[in-house]
Amino acid sequence: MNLERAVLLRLYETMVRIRTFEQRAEQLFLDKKIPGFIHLYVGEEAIAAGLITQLRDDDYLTSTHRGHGHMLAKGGDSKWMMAELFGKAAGYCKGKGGSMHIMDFSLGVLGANGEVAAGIPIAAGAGMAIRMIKKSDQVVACFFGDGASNRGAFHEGLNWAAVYRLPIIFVVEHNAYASTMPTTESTPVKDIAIRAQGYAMEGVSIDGNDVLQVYQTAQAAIQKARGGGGPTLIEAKTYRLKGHYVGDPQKYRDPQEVETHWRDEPIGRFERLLLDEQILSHETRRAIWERYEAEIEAAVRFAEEGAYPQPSEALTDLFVVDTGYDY
Amino acid sequence: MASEIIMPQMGLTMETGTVLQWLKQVGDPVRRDEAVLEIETDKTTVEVTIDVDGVMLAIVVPAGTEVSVGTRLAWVGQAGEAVPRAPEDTAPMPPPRTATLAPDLIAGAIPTPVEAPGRVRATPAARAKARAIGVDLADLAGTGPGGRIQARDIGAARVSRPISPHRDLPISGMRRVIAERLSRAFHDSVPVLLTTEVAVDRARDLLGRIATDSPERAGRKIGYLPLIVKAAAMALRAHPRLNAHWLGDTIRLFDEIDIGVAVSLEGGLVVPVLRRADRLALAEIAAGITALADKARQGSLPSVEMEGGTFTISNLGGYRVGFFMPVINPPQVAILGVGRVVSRPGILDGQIRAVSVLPLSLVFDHRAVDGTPAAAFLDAIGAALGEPEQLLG
Amino acid sequence: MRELTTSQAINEALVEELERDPRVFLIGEDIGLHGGAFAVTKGLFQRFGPKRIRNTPISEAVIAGSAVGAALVGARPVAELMYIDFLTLAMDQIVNQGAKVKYMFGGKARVPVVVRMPFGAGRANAAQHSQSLEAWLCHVPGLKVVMPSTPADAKGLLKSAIRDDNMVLVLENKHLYFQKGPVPEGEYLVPLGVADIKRPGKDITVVATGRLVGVALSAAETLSKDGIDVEVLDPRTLYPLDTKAIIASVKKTGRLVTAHEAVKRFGFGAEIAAMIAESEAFDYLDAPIQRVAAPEVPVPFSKSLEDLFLPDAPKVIAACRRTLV
Repeated sequence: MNLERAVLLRLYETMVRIRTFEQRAEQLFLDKKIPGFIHLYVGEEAIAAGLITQLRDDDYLTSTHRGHGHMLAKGGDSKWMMAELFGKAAGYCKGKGGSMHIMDFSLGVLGANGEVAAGIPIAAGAGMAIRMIKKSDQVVACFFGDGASNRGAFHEGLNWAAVYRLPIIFVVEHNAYASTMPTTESTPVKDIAIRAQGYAMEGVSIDGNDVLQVYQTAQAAIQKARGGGGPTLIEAKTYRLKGHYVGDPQKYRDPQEVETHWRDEPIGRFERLLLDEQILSHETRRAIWERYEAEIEAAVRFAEEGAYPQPSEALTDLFVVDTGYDY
Repeated sequence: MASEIIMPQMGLTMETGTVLQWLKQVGDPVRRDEAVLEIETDKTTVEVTIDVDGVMLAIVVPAGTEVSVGTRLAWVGQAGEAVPRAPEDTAPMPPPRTATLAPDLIAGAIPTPVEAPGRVRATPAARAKARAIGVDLADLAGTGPGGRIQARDIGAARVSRPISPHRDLPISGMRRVIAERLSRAFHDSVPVLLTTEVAVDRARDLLGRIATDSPERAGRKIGYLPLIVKAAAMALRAHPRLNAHWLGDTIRLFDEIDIGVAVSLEGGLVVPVLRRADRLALAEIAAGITALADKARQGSLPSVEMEGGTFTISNLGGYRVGFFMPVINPPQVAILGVGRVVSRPGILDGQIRAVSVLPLSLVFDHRAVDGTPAAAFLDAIGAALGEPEQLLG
Repeated sequence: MRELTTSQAINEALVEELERDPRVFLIGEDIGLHGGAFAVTKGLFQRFGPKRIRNTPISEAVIAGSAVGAALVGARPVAELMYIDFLTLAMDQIVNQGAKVKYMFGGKARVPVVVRMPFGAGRANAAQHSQSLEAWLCHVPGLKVVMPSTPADAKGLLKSAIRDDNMVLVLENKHLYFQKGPVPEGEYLVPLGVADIKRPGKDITVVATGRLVGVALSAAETLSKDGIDVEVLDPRTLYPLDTKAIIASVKKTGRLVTAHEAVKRFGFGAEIAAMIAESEAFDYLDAPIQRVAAPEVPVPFSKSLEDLFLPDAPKVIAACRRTLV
């Protein structure tokens, strides 16, 4: 592997950070500290890490309901993320959005989204603005799941991006289940990437649990988009190790199947590689995990200690108050 | 209270339905949610259920009849209840108010205000207005649909508190006549008031001597009034323009002086006429006034005795009245008002003395008579009363 | 004053705003060389080019969604849905995304989007191309909804909508596109949230929107011959609604009639009626409130049926008279 050590470690640490956050969030949810729903990214970390770490600060991304990983990979602050999950005023959205609506515009994260496939038209819009108004070389990474590829917005969005040659990297995180439905039962094609052909778009299907494969594929797609070559559809095949949401009884799948997939999970795989190449040692490995556990613990404390928003806040932030149109 | 079963509106476009079959007959008990009849619409056959418990009281529309939606089909109630007598069999939903409108679903009929016993129907504006001026809505009738009280209905009732306890007198014929005549006189004529005070010490002394000098008249004093009548008669003789009638296109000057003397009765006022007053002696005038007044009070005064007067005298001297403005008795052109004689400081023979003063008020119609002649006439009366000896005889 | 059609007035507004702010661009179906389904964007493509006048595939979800996305990254898109009936395909992006983004994100986003939507019946376009769906949109917190009734208002409101930093939906009654009216020269804006009394009166307040404003004026003219003086109030912005103006008018007249082309139940007229009943104007009402609206059926095709469907002057007159009974 011809990547620099720093890059490799960054990939690894990004995945560890995501995993630590998600597992802690799961515990907190089961302890009833987090209200509503959360949807965990456990087992899919390679995709976020492999692609997003290559984006510039001024590149954009659209995310999903399963979006903590994307946000963390783009450099989101775990304190403000955790506070938002708790519904505290110090959260990214002042407690008004919750897990499914996390965003950080300063990092170009155009929001997690509670609607399946809704990020696709939004990404298309960002792409249009980049090409037509800003005329820059920014790109947009658009994440969604296999389930989204069956929704109308997916087809409209890909068609649109292809027709206008928008600088978008579409990433379908094919994790074998859409909510409680196995993809094999909902989708007639085995490789979703083939759908790109319907839009004369390049589509590539990869092992989403292989962070280096993700990295390489993403690199090419990002360069292509940045260079005006138009959009790409990357199908990153992975497996959703946790339920659709925390608390999902998962009656629709065999626990044995889940067991099996744990052996293939991306962090373990990469670890073995890094240990073999001696980029990681057992000590440094432990130190990394401890560092992120500490960061996440601090985030939890921040969230727990934070105040809830004032009730009057419920009525604010609806509109930008008109300033008299004088700009 | 009995309930109606009506032809239901089973669909948006349904206008009529046919009663196919009555499943219950008169006298049959019925229960809530039970089917009581079958109807047929243009689309389908349907059973109609009822939403009360009771007994079929009457069937109004027999089987086999097609009727409009909303038509009353039957009555249900308690056993033995009478079927309400409706003035006519009307559909409960009133038709739209203008003929040009399409069916209700487009135009919207005016809904009949629901009967709510004990509840006054009034618009918010009417209620607010009533509150503001203290009117009880229960006292009002509304002019809106179904008797709804509207703001305009409050405007008329500008009462801030209930009327004080009272009784109402009916208006008698006499009252009505007086009202009408005097109103006319007042509005038609141009009344001008002249007043004068007459020192009547000499007249008083004279009347006193008459009383003592005529033993047959003892007990029957002659008061000021006959004297005044005589004085007025003499003055009229000298000023015939005041002894006249205004007839609109002519002024009728009369040869005879017939003076009416107003007599107050319980129900009103009559003015019997003393004929040829200038030719009567003072005693005759006094007797005449008394006789006429007695007859008037007894109600035995024929109306002919009240017609044809040429001048009127109104005497309020029995009361603490000074000057006043009597209303001319049409078509006469003048009237003399007599007030009470009062004793006041005055000048007599260059000395300050107690003087008896009689207030006289002359109202004349300026259409017929001008100020100077009227003043001269009044002056003449005053002069005559000042030297009353000439009035004897 | 010069007279323009509504279509021309809107075109002028677009030209002016496209020139004024390079961040403004248009997306919609058939808006390019074709000049738009109602000639509203005539000439714009030639003048501003394909990057700023963007003809799109038939993808309403992305038309609306890309407007949201572009706005989130700093552009100021003006999207067009060819018929408001196609709103249904864009509902997720408008209702779940655009309307809520600012709020859900704790106020840290802005969505300066305009979505223009022709609407209305009367052209034998039948059920799926003739609806009035403003009630759906007014019901969603986070959206502003505007409905001009004259060319002058159409121009002024659109310019204000484009400069507004929020998601503004501009509903244009198709019937009015070809109607002429006076339009002032030079730069002017019609502010959002301000109603306009198109005809002052003292006996009845008629709150009318869109095409029904002209209908109400015609009804008022007829009623004036009977000495009935009708005030016609055009809200112009449906949300945020100028409740103050409406309340003041009803306090003055004591009678309220609402008139819109949409179906009656759960409609804009219902909102006005309820708002007035809750307001201080309640104590001034001297008759029940009347609503003039379309009957509750899909828009029929045949002219004889469609004519019955459309609220017209006689229906407004009848409603006014019902308040005077």
